[in-house]
Amino acid sequence: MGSLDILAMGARNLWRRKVRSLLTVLGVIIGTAAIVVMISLSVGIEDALVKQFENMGDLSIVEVWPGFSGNERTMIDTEMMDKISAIEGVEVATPLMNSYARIIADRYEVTTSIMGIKPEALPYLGIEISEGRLLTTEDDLHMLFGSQVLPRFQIPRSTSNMRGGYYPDYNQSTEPPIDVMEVNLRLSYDMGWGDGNTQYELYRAQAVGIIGGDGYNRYSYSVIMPLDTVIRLEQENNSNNRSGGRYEPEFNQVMVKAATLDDIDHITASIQQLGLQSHSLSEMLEEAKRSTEFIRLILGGIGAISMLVAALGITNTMVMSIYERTREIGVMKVLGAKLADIGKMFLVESALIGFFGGVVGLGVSFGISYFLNNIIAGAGMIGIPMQARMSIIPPWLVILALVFTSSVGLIAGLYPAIRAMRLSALEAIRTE
Amino acid sequence: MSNTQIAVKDLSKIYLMGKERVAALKKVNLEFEKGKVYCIVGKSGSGKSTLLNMMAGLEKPTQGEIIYFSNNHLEKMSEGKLAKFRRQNIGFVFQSYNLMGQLTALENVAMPLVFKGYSRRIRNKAAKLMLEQVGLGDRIKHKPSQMSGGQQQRVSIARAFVSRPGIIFADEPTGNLDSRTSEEVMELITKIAKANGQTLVLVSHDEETADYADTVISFLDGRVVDVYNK
Repeated sequence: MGSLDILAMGARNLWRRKVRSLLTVLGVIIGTAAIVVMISLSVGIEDALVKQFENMGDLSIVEVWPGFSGNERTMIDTEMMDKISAIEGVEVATPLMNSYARIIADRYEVTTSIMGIKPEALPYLGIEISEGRLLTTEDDLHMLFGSQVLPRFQIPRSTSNMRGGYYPDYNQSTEPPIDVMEVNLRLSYDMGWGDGNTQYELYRAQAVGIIGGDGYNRYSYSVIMPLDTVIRLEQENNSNNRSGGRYEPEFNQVMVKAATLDDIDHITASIQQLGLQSHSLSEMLEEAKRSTEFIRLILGGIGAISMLVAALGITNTMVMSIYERTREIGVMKVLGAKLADIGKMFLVESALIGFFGGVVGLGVSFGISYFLNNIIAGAGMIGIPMQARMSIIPPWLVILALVFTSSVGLIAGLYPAIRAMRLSALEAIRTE
Repeated sequence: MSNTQIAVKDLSKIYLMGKERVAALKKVNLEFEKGKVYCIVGKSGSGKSTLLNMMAGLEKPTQGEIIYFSNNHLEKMSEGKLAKFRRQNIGFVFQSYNLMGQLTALENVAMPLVFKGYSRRIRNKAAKLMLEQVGLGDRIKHKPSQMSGGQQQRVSIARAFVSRPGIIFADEPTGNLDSRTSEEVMELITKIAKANGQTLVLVSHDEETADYADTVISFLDGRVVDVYNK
């Protein structure tokens, strides 16, 4: 028997009992909608969660610190940096190297934290530029100014000492007195508190950009320079290093950018194996996601109960249909129908109920989802963030729902189909 | 060379009625030749329908053999094999027609060809031809409920012959029909069988039906009491 014939026969038999078939399909529609809407709510929750974390920073960044274990301390030196960079899946790793220097512009100067970062890592650190550009690998004595550094430029030993503190005085204007992008800059490691004998070099420097963005972040109070430049400046200016032979830089913080989010897990594991500490938003997100998985399980479970009831409805319909069609099945057997074909006919019928219920149920789900997102959430009845949607039906859920409802239909039809196959042809044709 | 198409050897059937064992068939031995018309006659309960059902593979014998074409043992076949055997070799006409109420005459006749896996075009063509042969060429779109008993039985005959089986079994084909219609149906069924060299095995309690047979087999209490050729 051809597949098309079986399909046509199944559809025809369903059509013979329109009301009963429709009611059974309705059960599947409700079951599908219950599951899909419930899961869509949990997807909405997870999506809101991910968005929240994404606002906090790049998920593919792992922060690394020196490790402590008892009295042991694992430092991050250049050798350790090489090991970190060599971990599979690491796109780029850069230390955030802290230094301290004086920057002179015209009559103004500022003593500020200098941060050495590999220029190639800058695009991944979530640094927003309000003016100019990021550093490139060609840059040397070039500077990227944190927005909060600029207002602290002052005339040395001027009377306006109120502005000389590390933090800007919020009561006063925070307008920078000069435009660092326009003027020539000098950089010096002479803070004015030395022994007076040491001669510090005065470097010519140039600003390439200003870090903007709203509010403050870890870069707002620093001037970012290329890592190699900062290491060199340290070597040339730090008196301790000068006398102690070769200077070996050590880093207190390293930022590691993973090539993909999937790499985070084993990068984190490898870093901990090196004896260092790590932290990433991804890890926190994973933990948060685990709790939403639990919510999804509960919500999906509630939906699954109505699907189970719908499945029982299908089985019931099919068993009744066998009772009605006993004689018909018997005649088909006498005429030489394959047992498998008879089984298939009933399976196709129940699968069709499942499939149609699934398709219409999905339509209903999209309607309910739209209603939840635009009417209920839009009216501000529930306190959720504006950009987040309450209910999300991703493509995988659509496919899952169709496969699931068709399978439920098939499984629900299994028992009736086997019953139909086992029916004795002789008994069946004797039935009046 | 023997012309035997079906051989029945020492065939017995015992039913369990509660705790009592009732023998419906007792060591029946028969031979059926190709292209002939047989009529099994006997009273109700004489075992004639039981024999027909076992020969059509609808019932398992308690003992004995049913051998087709000298080497196909029906009693040894599985359900699936039996279905295949019926599909390829056997046509069946019922007393109560057993047409599918929701299908048209054409679709009913085409049913065995559906099971054989023929395409819609081929089976509709064959079914239409068959319906014309039984004189229902103008009724192909009718449902069984729109036809008389005689017409329905003719549809059922068309269905039995459409796949050109070697053997046709007919269980009381005229049992629900008046005498004039019975004659028409009997003439039709024997004519087609003869024309195609098909073996026809009828079961009837009606003496007149026996007039159409080449060989009449008489049953009484599960035994063959008489076999005579016309």
